[in-house]
Amino acid sequence: MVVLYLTACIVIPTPWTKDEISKEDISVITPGLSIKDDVLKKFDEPDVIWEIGDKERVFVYKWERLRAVWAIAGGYSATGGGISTDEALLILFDETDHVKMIKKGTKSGFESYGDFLNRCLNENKE
Amino acid sequence: MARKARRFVPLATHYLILVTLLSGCVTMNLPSAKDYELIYSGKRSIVLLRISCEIDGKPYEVFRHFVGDDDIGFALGGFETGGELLRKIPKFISSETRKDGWLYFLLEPGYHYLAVQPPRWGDVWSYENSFKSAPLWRLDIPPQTGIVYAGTLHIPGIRQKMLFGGISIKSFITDSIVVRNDEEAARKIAGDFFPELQPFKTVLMVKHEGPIILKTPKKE
Repeated sequence: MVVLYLTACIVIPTPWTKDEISKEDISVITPGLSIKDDVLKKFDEPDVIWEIGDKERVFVYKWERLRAVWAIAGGYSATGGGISTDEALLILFDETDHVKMIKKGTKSGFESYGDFLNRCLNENKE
Repeated sequence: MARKARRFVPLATHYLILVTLLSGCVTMNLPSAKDYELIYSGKRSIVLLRISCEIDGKPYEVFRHFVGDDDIGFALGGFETGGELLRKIPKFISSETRKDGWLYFLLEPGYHYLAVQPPRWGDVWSYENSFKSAPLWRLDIPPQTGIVYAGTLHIPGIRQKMLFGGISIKSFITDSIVVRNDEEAARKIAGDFFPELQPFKTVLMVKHEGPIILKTPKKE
């Protein structure tokens, strides 16, 4: 019981993102008109290039959204960390390097990155 | 009933402690029936690799101890991790092949990225992070391939003298790491231990720089 009384837990909401791509940034890319060079000029090299079969490929730009920081302290020791979500911008190109689709997505904590990429792409096709 | 429960709890605790202690130990880990199902359905391939290490120009047996990754650490990233490298304990086929540096992973078709690091001498967090800055080797696993030989990673290392005698690896000479081809030996291991897995292909890993490329087959 004494140990419980001496333990403290704190969660501080911290809406903070690193390298997020905004809606305004995305609005300059138009599916069907923009090409790969336009994307590279605007967003630079992607974090990941996903090749689907021989013809299509997706540029993935990743960033992290920090939701909160937490800390637990008890006695003479303490530990802490961050609660964050992975977000990404996916840009799908056709075989002629024209933008076919552009989509922002948030990865759920319960899915793998592969499932997240597949979900983002399929949601847009539906 | 209560007496039975009283006896069960300490027994279960001992069992859990034993499992935890043994989880880091090396086992000769041939694929299970479930693994074979995944291989036959084309969802996974056995990816055979060899690590050959040398210190001061002399061959050094890299898997000497009973703990899975005590002389070399592995991390792999692929489509499922979005290219992010995660620590992976290798599997071994037999004690003889292990002595020669052979190991295998069970991987999906597509690109995978491998990073290796010398044994951990500092804290766990720094060690885990060190894989992110390590050179990357790209493995290309073709679809519908039972067994893939991805090459022999030849790693020159710098000697670390141990307190009670003997040596270990302090660091790798990363610029001198090369991929060698031991296809004949790999074919022999595949024939001896996995004769039912076909086809056998050799696709040597390549050093990778630049953005991570992930590859998946087109879904019909």
